[in-house]
Amino acid sequence: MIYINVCKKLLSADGPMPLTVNITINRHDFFTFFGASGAGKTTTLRMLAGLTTPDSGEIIVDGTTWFSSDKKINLPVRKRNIGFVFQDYALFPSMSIRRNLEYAAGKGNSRIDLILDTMKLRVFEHAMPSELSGGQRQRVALARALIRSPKILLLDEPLSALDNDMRSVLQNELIQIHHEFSLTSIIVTHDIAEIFHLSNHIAFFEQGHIIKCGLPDALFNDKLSSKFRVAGKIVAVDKSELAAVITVQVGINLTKVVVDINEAETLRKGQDVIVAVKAFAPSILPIN
Amino acid sequence: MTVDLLPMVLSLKLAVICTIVLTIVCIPLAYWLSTSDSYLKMLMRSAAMLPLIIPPSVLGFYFLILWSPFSPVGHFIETVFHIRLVFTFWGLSMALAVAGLPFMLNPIIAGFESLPPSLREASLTLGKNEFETLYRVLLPSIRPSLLIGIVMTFIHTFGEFGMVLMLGGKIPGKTLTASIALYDHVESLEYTQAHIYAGVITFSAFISLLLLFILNSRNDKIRSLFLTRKE
Repeated sequence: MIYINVCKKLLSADGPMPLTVNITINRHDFFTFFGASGAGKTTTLRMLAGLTTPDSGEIIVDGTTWFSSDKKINLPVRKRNIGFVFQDYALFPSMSIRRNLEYAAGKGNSRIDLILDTMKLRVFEHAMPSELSGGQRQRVALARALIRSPKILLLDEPLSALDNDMRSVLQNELIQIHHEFSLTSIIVTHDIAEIFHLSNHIAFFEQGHIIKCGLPDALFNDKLSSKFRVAGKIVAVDKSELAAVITVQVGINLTKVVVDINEAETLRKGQDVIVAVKAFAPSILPIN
Repeated sequence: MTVDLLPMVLSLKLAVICTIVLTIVCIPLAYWLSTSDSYLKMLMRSAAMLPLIIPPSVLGFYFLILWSPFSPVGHFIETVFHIRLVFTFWGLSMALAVAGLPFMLNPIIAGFESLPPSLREASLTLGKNEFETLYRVLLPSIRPSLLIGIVMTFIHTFGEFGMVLMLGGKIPGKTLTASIALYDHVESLEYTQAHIYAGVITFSAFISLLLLFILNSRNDKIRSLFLTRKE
């Protein structure tokens, strides 16, 4: 179990902003820190990793104090046994993919070949990071973070630089890895679709505070009792006199939904939405 | 006509010693300056840049005063360590190391600052300490900057004139360097010998620079020749 109760003074565009976080994350949760840019999500993740020092408070992981301002404890980053995946991948440019993993693994670690195979990286093992595509680099970053068998995996917007197709593939891999390695995972994102795809718990950050915390359903669509739903982004709103056609991008597909003209008033292009099917008899077609 | 090789050997010795000492000193110093939040940082950077801005003769003059047996510092060094720094090879080496500091320090700092902070942080999250992170991750990543520092320091020290003139005392084999010998030959109107010294200094500087550009550009060539993008 991870218990975080910390304060940190941040500088935002509007001046100083206190970040106060009080949160408990259970073992094996796939937890999301969600919110707008500058709300304090990444700083909280970095404080848990030890990359940023809180001004006050405490961080306790599985009964061990990692940080306590009262007891003057601040466990060094290298002793926290976490896996951290950075937004820019942070692969070491002078090392091949295999050397990146060997460096991370340290002496006597026999998991390199296993990880290379599990993460489908065998064909790239002698390539340099600059030769790989974004998705491949992210997969290496993930493999490198996992090689020391951490119990906690921290992901700072790991998929934000990827296209929808690759993002969807890696989201599935993340879920698989989370279960396979029995991890407690925390991901920072501002992509609602990603939350529904990956996580079972969300902390909603706003202006340095957690304003809501709970299950994705409870936070985003507590009014819906649908059986089936997908999250996406509105790419077009075409209004006529009586109805409006809303085009929603879900992954790489576009879905058109007809809604009441009054309902369409609250919808705008670029908005993240959930498309829910409440009908009793949806059509199901086999694809092969 | 005879050309004394001793000044050239001496210049080479001074350049090699200074380059080695500055490489060892400047790597941790540049790392600290590029990562530290300390208020001392700006003070240190300004002080380290000073030898680049002020004339070498001024710097030499200050060292002459400071290391004179009649100054408290010079007196202390001479009575405690029994070392005289004025008009000696080791005194000249120390002064040239100070004069060469910005040539080594600035490219290495620029190299470290050009790296994304996440490289260092990623290494720390992988259980490595700062030392291992510096030598195994960051230094290999700034190899071109490090090479620039090494070559520029070597060339600068090899040809330094003003400070050597002020502090050296033209003692053959100890402080009479190639650039001082060149000056002496010009003063004596011995242009053939002067040409040889000037030619050697210019040629060695050119070769060093050429080597630097070959080493730094070879990386890119190897990359573009042997690496193909895999989608």
